[in-house]
Amino acid sequence: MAKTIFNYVKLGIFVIAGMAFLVILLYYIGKNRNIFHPSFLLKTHFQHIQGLQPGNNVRYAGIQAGAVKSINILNDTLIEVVLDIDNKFKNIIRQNARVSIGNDGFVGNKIVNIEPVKEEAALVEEDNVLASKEALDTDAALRTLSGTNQDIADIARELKTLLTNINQNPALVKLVTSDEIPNDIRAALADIRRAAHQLQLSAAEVNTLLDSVSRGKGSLGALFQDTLIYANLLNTSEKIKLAGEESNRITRQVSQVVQSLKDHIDQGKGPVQAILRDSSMTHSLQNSLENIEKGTSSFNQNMEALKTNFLFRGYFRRLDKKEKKDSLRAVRE
Amino acid sequence: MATDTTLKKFLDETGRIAVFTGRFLNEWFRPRYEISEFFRQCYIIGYKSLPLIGLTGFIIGLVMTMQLRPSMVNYGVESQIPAIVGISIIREIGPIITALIFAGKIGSSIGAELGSMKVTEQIDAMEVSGTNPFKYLVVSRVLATTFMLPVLVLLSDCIALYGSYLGVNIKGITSWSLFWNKVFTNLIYADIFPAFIKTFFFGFIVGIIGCYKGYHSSKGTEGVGRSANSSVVVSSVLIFITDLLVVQVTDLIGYG
Amino acid sequence: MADPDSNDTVISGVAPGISRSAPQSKEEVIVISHLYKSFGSNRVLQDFNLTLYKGQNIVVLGKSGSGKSVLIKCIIGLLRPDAGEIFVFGKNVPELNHFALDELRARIGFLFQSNALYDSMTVRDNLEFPLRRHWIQVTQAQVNDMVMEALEDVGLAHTVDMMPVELSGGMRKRIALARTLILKPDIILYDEPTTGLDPITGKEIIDLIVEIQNKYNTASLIISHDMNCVRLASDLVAVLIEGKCYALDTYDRLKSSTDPNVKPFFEQ
Repeated sequence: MAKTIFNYVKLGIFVIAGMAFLVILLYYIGKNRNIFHPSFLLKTHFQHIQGLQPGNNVRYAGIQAGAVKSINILNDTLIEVVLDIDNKFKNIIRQNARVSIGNDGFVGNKIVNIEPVKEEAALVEEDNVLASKEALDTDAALRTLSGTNQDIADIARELKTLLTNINQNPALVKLVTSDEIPNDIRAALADIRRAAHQLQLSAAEVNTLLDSVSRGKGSLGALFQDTLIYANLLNTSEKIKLAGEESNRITRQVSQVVQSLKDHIDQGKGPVQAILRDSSMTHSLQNSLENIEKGTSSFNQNMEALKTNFLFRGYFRRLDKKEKKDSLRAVRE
Repeated sequence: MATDTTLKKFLDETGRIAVFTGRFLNEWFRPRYEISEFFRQCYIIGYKSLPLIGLTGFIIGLVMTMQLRPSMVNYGVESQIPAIVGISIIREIGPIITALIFAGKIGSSIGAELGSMKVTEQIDAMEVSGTNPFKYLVVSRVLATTFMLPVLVLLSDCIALYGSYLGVNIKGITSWSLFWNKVFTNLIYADIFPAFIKTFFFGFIVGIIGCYKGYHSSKGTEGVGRSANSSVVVSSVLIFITDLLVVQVTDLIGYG
Repeated sequence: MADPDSNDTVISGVAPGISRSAPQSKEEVIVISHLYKSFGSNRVLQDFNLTLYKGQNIVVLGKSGSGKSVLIKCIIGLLRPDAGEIFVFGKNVPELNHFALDELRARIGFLFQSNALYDSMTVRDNLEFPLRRHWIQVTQAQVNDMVMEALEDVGLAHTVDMMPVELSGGMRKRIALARTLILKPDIILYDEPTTGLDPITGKEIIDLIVEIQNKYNTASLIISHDMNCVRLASDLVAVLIEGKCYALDTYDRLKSSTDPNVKPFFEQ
């Protein structure tokens, strides 16, 4: 009988070892899926969830914080994502935190990122809906940039016409006496200002893009981990910024010209006298316009450089095609 | 008309196995319970198979890791080896390899043991001694294989993953905790449950086929050998078929 | 054959040629009437009738494949006859449920042709098996005593902790006999007890059977075609021909029979 008891002990150890592995397996998987921690729910809305699935990880500033509990379609353009968040994050996540969908590594699963925002806000509570941030779209960024380029080109054209007109003396008097000039300049100025502002925005956007790239985030981020591409892009961004700065300078100069013209007019001298008499004024205006031209051309150069950049090549090619098609249509009409 | 008789034989055999299985399902829960014999069989079938199954599991884990490595390095996803090995071992390789080794070791021994008991009238002797040999021999063994194979598969999975850990560390360095973390974070319950549940079926198949072949062994030592052999062949084939069915079913209910 | 002492004891115990002289009562223990059993188209038993009284030994004689083994397997309930009745201690075996059958089987010993010792168990476990399986309420000490007594009856007390594979054919047969005896049965059914043994060992087994019969006064049904066995162990000999009990008489009278069906069995 002693032999039998011995067998029972071994059998017991054997079975317990097997069950222990099962329990460990289940526990660790459960732990990763937030099953054994007290947790609370947060919600967020997306237009596009990029293949996110229930069970995908949720990270707060890169730290594992929970899992996607469920995904519900609210209507044709809005999808609700319910997040199961570990209770210990209740005192950390604030209501203004931004939620975005990203990738875990190059070929990894989708993850939900909750990013803190610098401004103060109250802490989250159960069932709060956090604001979401759609993933960065390079197409959209480039569309804005191209619009800016178009604007600047328009301004340059207008300025050029103005300059030609000033240079053609016989018409000058008539032109200068009219009240249209300051208005024109003012309009041009507004255009330039708008263009510059947009340019700045674009540059900022590219910067954000680069920031997230350098943090290795997002599918684009993974793609950009190659330092060469990164440097290239940085260079591009720099050029965009430069173009922005230049157009800023142009704006300032034009503004100065307009201001001085305005001053002259205010002093009762009238724009014609002001321009004709004050040779320095004429000179300054000419100078400014030259600068603007220069700035515009350098901006154009930057834009060309951008066009040749492989990342944006596709976009510009599409733009080209569209233009051709438009012109063709115009010809036909 | 050779095919005709072969088909007839096949259908006849299938029918007999079905009846045998039906008898098992009808009898296993009725008294009298052969509890001590069940535990004895658990010890023999489960515990005594561990060295063999552990060894094969270890080698499978190690070899799979080493074989995967070159192509994973090519794709630059070397760090994903634990995850891939973990998923494939837990989901498929562990259960199927263990079940096949188990069929080879236990299926043949049950077939031969019951076959020789049948031939030497030991089964009749049991019946004469006031024992239901079906309960004493068949029910205890089938229950033992049904419950021991899942345990063996779990341990074999564990050992195979340990083998994989060593395999990863032959040419690279991955810490113990990072390895297991990678394995666990890439697993979900849907990986475990179908794989775990199907091992019960595998165990049942090995037990019931081994017992059937032994219990219906023809006279003579040749009959015993044939029982042992065919119980391994039939149970191995049935294991693969069941595996296929389980995959289909889990896919169907969206668990895949 | 491992123990010459025990052989001596057995041989000297019963002198050759001496018939049994056990007291015979008229109490019927087995009554077989109109028994039919066939396997497919092979009709093995057809209208078989036989009555066994307490303390009586009947040897059933027949050709190979004539259904002798089928007969005793029907009696113990291992096979179910197609028709007919088998009364054992007044109970009709084919109609019993398995509880009643187990109860009845505890009173019947069965010595298998191939011994049917459990290979995976020691001699002790083999002998204990029927004791434990029949729910007999005994203490461990009593079990040990019963095992040793049965082993001493067959002269193999020293093999108690050996495995069956370590024993010779004759020893295995005697262990099997001890296992049959351990429940002190009222009836013992022997299925060709001397088959597969050399003549000397076979003779020892026959002597042992006779000795045990005398000691416990059991009724026996012995299946055999061994003339030594028939001559030494029988009170009556039943000749099984074509599924019927063709003749039932003493050995001496059948030996001198001129019946062409019976005569060949005794011409050797």
